[in-house]
Formats: sequence, structure tokens, C-alpha cells
Amino acid sequence: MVAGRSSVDHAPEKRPGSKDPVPAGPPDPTAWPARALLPWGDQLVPRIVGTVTGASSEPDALTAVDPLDDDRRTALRRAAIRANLAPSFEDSQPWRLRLRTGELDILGDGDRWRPFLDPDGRGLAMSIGAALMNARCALHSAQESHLVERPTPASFNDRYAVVRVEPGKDLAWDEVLAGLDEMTTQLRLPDDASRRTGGPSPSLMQALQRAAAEEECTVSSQPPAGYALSTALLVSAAGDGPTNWVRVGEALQRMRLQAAATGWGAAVEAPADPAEMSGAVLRLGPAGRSAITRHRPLAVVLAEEPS
Amino acid sequence: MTADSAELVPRGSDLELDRLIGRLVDRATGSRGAENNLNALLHAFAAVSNELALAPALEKIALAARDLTGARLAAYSRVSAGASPRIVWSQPDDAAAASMLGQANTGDGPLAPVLTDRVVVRLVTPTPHGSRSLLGVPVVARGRLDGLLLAVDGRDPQGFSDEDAELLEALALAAGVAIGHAERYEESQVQHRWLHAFTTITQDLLAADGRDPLEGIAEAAFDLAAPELVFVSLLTEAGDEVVVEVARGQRGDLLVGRRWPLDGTVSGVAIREQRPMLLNDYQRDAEAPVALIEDVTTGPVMVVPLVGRERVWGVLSLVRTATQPVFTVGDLSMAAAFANHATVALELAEVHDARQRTRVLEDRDRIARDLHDHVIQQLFAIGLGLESTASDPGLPAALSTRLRERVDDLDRTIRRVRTSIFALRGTLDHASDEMRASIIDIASELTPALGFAPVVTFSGAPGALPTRLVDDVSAVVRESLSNVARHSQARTAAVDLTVTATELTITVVDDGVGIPDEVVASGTTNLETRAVRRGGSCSITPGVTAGTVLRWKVPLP
Repeated sequence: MVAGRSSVDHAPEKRPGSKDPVPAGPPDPTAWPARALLPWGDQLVPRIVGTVTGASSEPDALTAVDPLDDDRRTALRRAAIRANLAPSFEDSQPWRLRLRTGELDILGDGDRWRPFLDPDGRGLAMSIGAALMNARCALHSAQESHLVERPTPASFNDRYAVVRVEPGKDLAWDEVLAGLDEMTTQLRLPDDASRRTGGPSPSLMQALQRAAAEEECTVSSQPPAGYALSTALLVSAAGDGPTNWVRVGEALQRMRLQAAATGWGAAVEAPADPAEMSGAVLRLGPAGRSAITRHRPLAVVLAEEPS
Repeated sequence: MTADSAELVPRGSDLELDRLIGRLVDRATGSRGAENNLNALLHAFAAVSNELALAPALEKIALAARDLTGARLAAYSRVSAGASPRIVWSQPDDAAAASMLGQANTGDGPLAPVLTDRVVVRLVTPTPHGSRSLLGVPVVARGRLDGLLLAVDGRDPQGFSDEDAELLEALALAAGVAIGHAERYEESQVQHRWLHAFTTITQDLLAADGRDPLEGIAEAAFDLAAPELVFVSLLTEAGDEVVVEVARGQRGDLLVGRRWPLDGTVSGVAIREQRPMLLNDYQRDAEAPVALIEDVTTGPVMVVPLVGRERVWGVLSLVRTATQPVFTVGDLSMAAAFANHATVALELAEVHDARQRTRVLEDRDRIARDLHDHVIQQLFAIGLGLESTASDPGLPAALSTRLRERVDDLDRTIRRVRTSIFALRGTLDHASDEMRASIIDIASELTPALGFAPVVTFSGAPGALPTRLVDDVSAVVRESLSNVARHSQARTAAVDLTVTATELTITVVDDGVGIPDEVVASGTTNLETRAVRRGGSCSITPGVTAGTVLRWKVPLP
């Protein structure tokens, strides 16, 4: 990682989406690439590339905002900022973010829980999942290999999810998640007034199915009760517990990002049928207004422990 | 090199203009050429005062100076404090003349007295290709020295004439007025743009899908003040740090989420003293412990506080690099005024959010009232009816027993509804009944861990308990529910708090697989200690069909 990072400091910039060939050699599909090998160059993370790597005493002093602040923390902070943009149940934004050395904790914020609308905490856990998905995309985009700990009933304390960056420790680098990072600021709601007819293309539907499967969730082949076929998907996980709900939240957010990347808007809704309660409905439509709402200030949400 | 003439310069008064024109007119009566000069001067006045914007006005001034004096070229060198220094030439510039202007600027060289003493300087310098003549006059705009008007190489190789000097002086008067107007015009334009920006922010704010006003503030400030970097930082809840919320410009996204303390920083001074800060040379002006960001190329910096009605929200910071023009006092006052407007936007956003919260609360209150007034009354009525039916002597005993069981169920349901009503109303006001509130809070808090919402019921009057018991009760409920979450794989659980005149009992029941012995041991130690300390007891027993029953009892004084 470190070698790859410094070598990229002088890499020529490429435009996003350009088809420059990846240097030859049999690629290991799960390996975290050196940064210079990114197909879209450094455009996605222009500010992170080229920051402090020990030898950064270049005259361009704007390079290092804080020489004490390392790449990893910068990437985690950016992940936290992206997490804070995630859509949430009833726009409650029920999380607190804690940045520690090599670690980002996503905590549930009990003060933001809506017990009346969300008695079991499903909405809360799914919101946490959406925030977690944003954070993961940011870390994949920054090519920081990381581990994700999700809550289990046995391990539960107030931490819902922990994203820990451990160089070398491995999780496959996911090009798709890295590419979805830029969509985290561009989510759209479905435009209900649109006269455009026809559902999403089969290829988008496939991509959405795949996105759900990657997060260990399934998309029901039947439309959820009360919805028309092909514009609403019932997404659920294997079980009906907090870990599953977080997972469903991640899947839903991944699908929303995927939809946004192809010009579709999406909204998450609660299933009308109590039998489908463990999942959630993703309703699709032509992209309408932005799904990003005014978010809670970082001054309130983000805590940072000194490194 | 000799300065053959030096005289005091008019201060821009009408009298001085009268004097100059008088002399020119006197000369004009004697010669045709001089009459033409007077004509040219009138034309120059018209040309110079015709321009509203500053840059073209300065160009017109330089051209008029060249044409009036018949010089080979002319220049206007602007040195005014609070404006960025610049030189405007009537045509592509002349290195030697430019270097003399530069010297004048630093208070050195033959032209320096024009600026230091505000006098007209005329001089002739021999050069290898003949002689070079220069004529420099100061220009005063809005009562302060604005710059130097220079003519280079006059018609006469012997140097510029008295008449040339008088013409240029007269032009300098007109130039001063024109520059003053152009400046005022630019200021009003800038003001107009800032006001327009504020309107846009307010409109954003009132729009249904509420764009973050902070984004609008940063964007507007970035467009208007043309800095390298703009960022808005807000105070944390603790109030001792600021955190960058949004940023625009160079490396702005690296700054977002960064924080620094108020102690020893420019932001700290701006917030604590509620004072807009202007540091034109950040490296020089910032005293040692004062830091904005650890960024050594930072040049001019403005940090203006966002002062609201009741508190300071944070600061708006505008940063230029060392090579960019300085911020003027005018920039600072515009930025400060803009920050005040921007704060209104922030407060409006807060009010908007508060109103939405209120709506949720009103809704809950309505539901709670409805449950209390109607649902519970009806359940009571049904219960009473069932009970009287059950007491009917004609009824078979088995049926009567089952009816009584249903009545008990109804009682439990009523208690649960009461608890829900309390939850709907009570979470907002812990002070009113700390015990209930804290148990409900704990149950809510552990709901996600459990995977279901535990049933919570109260009997008696837990509100009347001594507050020192609240800590114990909370700890016991929290620990037993966590045990359930960790070990039991239960699908339901219930917490009951019963208070009689002499005793308080907490019962936690679940339907899980039971608790492993070693956990029972460690789990109970803590609970038991708490019970024994108050003269009570704690027991964990298997449930009737499945799960576990925990009973924690203490006597009440």
C-alpha cells in the first residue's frame, strides 16, 4: 500500500471514465491496487493522493494541511463525512460518528430514535447501514483496505458498526463500491410526477439484484404488497435481527447509489404487509429532486480522538 | 540628472482648478497651440469622467495624459493603500520608466517626491540615445493619495514645459474625481452582489427541499470575495473547538471535518470577542500561538464571526494565498455584514427544524390523549362487564375461570397501554418521573440489541421512590436485559417494576434458552451486591416453560 501510494504522487492525472488501459500483468481481482492503477486516475480522490508520506517536504506547502495527520485518518474522516450524508429513516439521521486511530465507529444516537414510528429500531439500524455503506464506498475509493465489524446481539454495546482501517489486512478491493463513492452526494428521489413510462432496464435490475446479493440480501421476485411490478423491490436479509437490519440498510443504500449512477431515483419505504416487515421496499422512478437533505452539523455528529 | 522644477500640488479644490484653468486661458489668448491645449483638456475631462468602471477609467487617464502632453508614452501608477498596486500604460510599457515608477513606490529614486511630498516632478536625464524627459504629478482621490500620473519623453527634448505641467495637473484633478467615482461604483456593485447572494441563500432556505444554508454561504462568499479558499466552521457542543462544516476552493475538501481549539487561534479571537478579523499578512501578523490552519502559504485572511441572537455559531473564513491581493477594510465590513445575514439563515433553518420536531411531539401527544381518554376507558368497561359475567352463579366454573383469566389479561393490557402513553409523553421530560423514564429509555436503548421491544410495565407508584434508588434500578434493568440480549436468544422479554408500601420488585422474564451457569454466577454477583447493599435479595430461576425469570427485591423504608 505505502509503496503504491507514494509512487502515485507523480502519476499523470487521468480523466474519470477514460479507458486508459490498466498496466499489464495478470490482475488479482481481489487485490487492492496501487493507486496509480486506478482506471479513472486520481480524480475521485484528488485531495488524498499526494498528501503526507514522510518525505513530503516539497515547496508546495499547500500539500500538507497538517503534517501530523496521516492518510489513513484523512481517509477515515472523509468516510465519516460521507456517512453523515446518508439518507435515514424519517430523516432522523440517528448516528454519531467517532474517529479514532485507524478506526471509525458509527454509533446509534438514541436521542434521534423515533420510538413511536420505529418501535423495534429497524429504521434506526437500517439508517446506520446506509451510513456504513457510504463510509465503505469512501474507503474503497481512497483504497484504504479495511475491516467492517457489524453488531451481533452478543457483541452489542452502543456501537453499531466499526470500520477499521488496517493496511495489509484484507478485504477485497471493490471497484464497484469505489466508483459508487461519487454518487453518495448525488442521490435522487423518484419523480412521482414524471410521465416517463417503463420501468428500469433489465441491466439496471440485474445490477440492483447483484448489489443486494453482495450485501447478503435478497430481492423478492414478487413485488411487495401494494406496489406495482418492476418499480418496487422488497429487499430483505436472512433473518430479522439488528445485524440483518444493518445489512438491509447497506444493501438499500448500495442499490440507491447504483440507481443514481444510471439516472434513476429511489426511495426506501416501509412494507405495507406486516409479513414483510423484516425487509424494506426500494421504490424506483425517474430521477427527481435530490435525496440529500440538510444534514446535522459535523460539529455535533463527529467526535475525534487525537491520534 | 536634475529635478529642475518642483512645486506644491493642488489638493483637488475648486480654487486650484480655477487657478490652473486661469493660467491656461491666459496663455491661450497668446497662441493658437495653447488654445488647442485647452480644447484637448476639455475633451480629456469628458473622456476620463465617462468611464464608470475602474480599469477602463485608468486606461483613459493614461491615454489622456499622453495626448495632452504630447509625450511618447504615459502611465498611471496606482499605489493607494487598500487597493492592489498596479500600473496602467498608454501603450506597451517601457522597462526604464517602469523601474523608475517602482523606485518611486518604495520611496526611492527621482520620482519618489511625487508620492512622498505630493509635488510635481519634472526632470531631464541624459541617455546614450539623447535625453529622456519625465513629468510626474500626484493624483488624489477621495481625500487620499491614489497614485502617480507620469508622462515620458515630451515634444521638446529640453523637457516638459510649464504648460505641460499645468495640463497634467489639471488632468490629475479630473482623474482623482473619476477614480473616486469608479471606486464608489465598484463598491456599490460589490454591495449589490453580496445582497443578492443573501437573497439567494434565503430563497434556498425557504425552498421545500431545504438546501444546507452553510453550502450557500460558503459558495456565495467564494464567488464574491474571490479568495483561494472559503470555509465555514461551527462551534462544537462543548464550545471549545470549531469544526469545518463546508469549504470551497483549493483543497477545501481536505479541510472539511477538521477541528481546532478556540484557544490560541484566530477563530477563537473572532468568536470570543465577536470581532471580524483581518490579517493581511497571515505569516507576519499572526502572533506566534495564533494558527488558522497549518498551511504555510496562507496570505491574507479574513475570519468573521457568525453572531446570532443568542449565541455565536462559528466563523466564516476567507483565505487568499500570499501572492494574491490583500483584503481591504471594505471587504472586511462587507464580509462581516454578509456573515450577519448568513447567521439569520442558520437561525431560520434551526427554527424550521424545531417546528418539525414540535409537529412530531404534537402528534404523539394527540395519540396519547386519545389512548388515555378513550381506549383505556373502553377496556375498563369491557373488563368490568366480563367480571360481572364471570360472577354469574349460573356459569360453569371452568368458563368462569377462563373469563377471569381474560380479565387479568385485560388488566395487563391496560397497564401496557398506560406505559405506552407514558413513553409517548414522558421521554421528553425526565424530571417528572425519573424512574419510569430511565427504565423506558433503557428498554428502548437495548431494543436493537434484543431484536425486539421488551414489554415494560409498572405497578404502584414508582414515581414516588427516593431518587437514590434510581441508579440501582437502572443498573439492574440494564444488566438483566443485556444478559437476555447476549445469551438467551429470546424472542420476547418483559420488565415489570412493582412498588408496594414496603417493597420494590423488578421482574425480568424472557422466553429464551436460559442463561449458562457461568453467566448466572457472574451476572448475579453484581445484581446481588446491589440488592444486599439495600437489604434485599436477587434470584435467577428458569421460567415455567422456557427462558429465565430474574427477581430483584429491596425493602422500602
